[in-house]
Amino acid sequence: MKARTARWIAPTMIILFIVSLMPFFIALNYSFRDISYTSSRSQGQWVGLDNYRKALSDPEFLHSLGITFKFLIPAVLFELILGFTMAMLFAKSNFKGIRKLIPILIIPTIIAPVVIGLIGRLSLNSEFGVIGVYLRKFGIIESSILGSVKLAMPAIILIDIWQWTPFVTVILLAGFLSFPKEPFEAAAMDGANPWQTFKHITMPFIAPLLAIVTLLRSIEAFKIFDKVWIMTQGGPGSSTQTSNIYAYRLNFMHWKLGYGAAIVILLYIVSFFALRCIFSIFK
Amino acid sequence: MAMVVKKIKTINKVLIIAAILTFMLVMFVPYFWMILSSFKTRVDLLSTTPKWIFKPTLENFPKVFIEREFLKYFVNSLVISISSLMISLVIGVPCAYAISRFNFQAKGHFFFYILSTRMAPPVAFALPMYILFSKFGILGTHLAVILAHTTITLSFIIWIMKGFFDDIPIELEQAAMTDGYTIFGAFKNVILPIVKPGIVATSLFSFIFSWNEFLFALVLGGSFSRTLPAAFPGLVTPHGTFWAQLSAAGTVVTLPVIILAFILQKHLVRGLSFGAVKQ
Repeated sequence: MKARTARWIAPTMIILFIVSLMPFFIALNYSFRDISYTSSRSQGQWVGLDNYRKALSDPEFLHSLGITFKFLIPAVLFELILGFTMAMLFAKSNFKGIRKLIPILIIPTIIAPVVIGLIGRLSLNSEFGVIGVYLRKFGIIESSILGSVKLAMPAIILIDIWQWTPFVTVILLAGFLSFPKEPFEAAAMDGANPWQTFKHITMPFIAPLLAIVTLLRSIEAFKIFDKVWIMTQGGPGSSTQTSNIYAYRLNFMHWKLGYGAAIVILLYIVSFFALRCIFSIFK
Repeated sequence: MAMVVKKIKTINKVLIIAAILTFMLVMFVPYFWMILSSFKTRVDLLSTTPKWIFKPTLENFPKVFIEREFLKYFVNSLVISISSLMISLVIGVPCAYAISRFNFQAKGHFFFYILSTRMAPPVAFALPMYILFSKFGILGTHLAVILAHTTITLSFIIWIMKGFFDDIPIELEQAAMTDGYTIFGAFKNVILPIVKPGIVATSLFSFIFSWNEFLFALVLGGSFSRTLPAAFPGLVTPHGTFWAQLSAAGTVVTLPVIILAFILQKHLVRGLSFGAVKQ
């Protein structure tokens, strides 16, 4: 590397070394050791791959991965379908001031996830919440939503859909608004029906954007923590304990640092592969 | 026949607008509900029939911001967000320029690595940072949270700014350099003024990301450096949840972000899509 280039990127490399590379190698090192702040026997002895072996057969960890995907798949799917539909309607409406609406529309996506969790609790509360009270009145629920093993996860998914559908809508709308007019006019001239136009012209145009949005949303959904922590802390029981919540509990409540580090490295690997996909699309 | 077609078109148009309005309303009402809640007394808030009209009170704001010291957390949030933004800006913008303009070994890997710091689960970094920062003796200080937040702001700034630099034709620097500028001179006097609007937008976005961040602030911050989001769980106690005060804090923590969303209007898509969609 030339000295010239080094001068421009060295400060970034130093900071990333401190906040990213060193932490990564610390976690890697811990993941091969038996170390816990709460047990006097675990003083950092080298245990090789034991923590990883334990993790892959730990029912609670596997359960938390399952919970993560039980959240991720329906949430992202609904956000895509709803966001796609709304973006098409926005584009169809031909309303000139549409861009002016975007900052209001985007509010749920752009405010702090902690506040999203608070809004979820405020509106879903069955005693006084603006949604919860009516759900109870109409007999759809009997008691608390977030305190129910059955309903807590659907509630978190619902709140996530509320938070992120505007994001999908706004990004796809940008795509729809940048479409060239000619292919659509040509299709209309050739007498294509709406479904044919959609399938052969709209979809190919929007597909790359759809792929980016899907990957961005999936990576973000895989990381979910703040909202769940405020709404249920992973409960009731472990019904909403996603893998990030589980890792947090292991590390910062039970202080099982060696085992926790192994879990954290495994999560890192999963998101790393998701990221490789997105990187090839970005380029 | 033409009349019928026209009628169908009008009905369609009305349906579309109705759907859009419903959608906007659904997206806005829960947030609005929190704002209303922040102006309610305990009795009004806990009423079993949700109250849309009530006698507003301002009591929750001084309660949470003075008595519960959220004012201090607000200042902490400001200090931390602005510091991590400044650090990232000063070191990230030249780095983005180098990635855009120079060829060097393993550039692609370096660029990917920068993105990975933003996309990896924060929990994966929170634990080792906790260990590292306690060894440095900076656990619980502002600096710890600022450094942690640079993983978010720095990678964002480099990614977005690289895109802005890529948009500028290289001939501009070449012309400047034939006029006797050094590379740094050309960067400072020719390129930076061009990308200034981009830098401003990118900075505001980075500010929002750091401002909203929760996990790092919760784990690495202490009582002196607690940020607003990290203070939220403190209002959920075994003796009960302080709903009105939480709402007041929620209103205040979201207000700057919403103002910034209006300022950022033109750049929202590019920023939110991490630069993937240029508009």
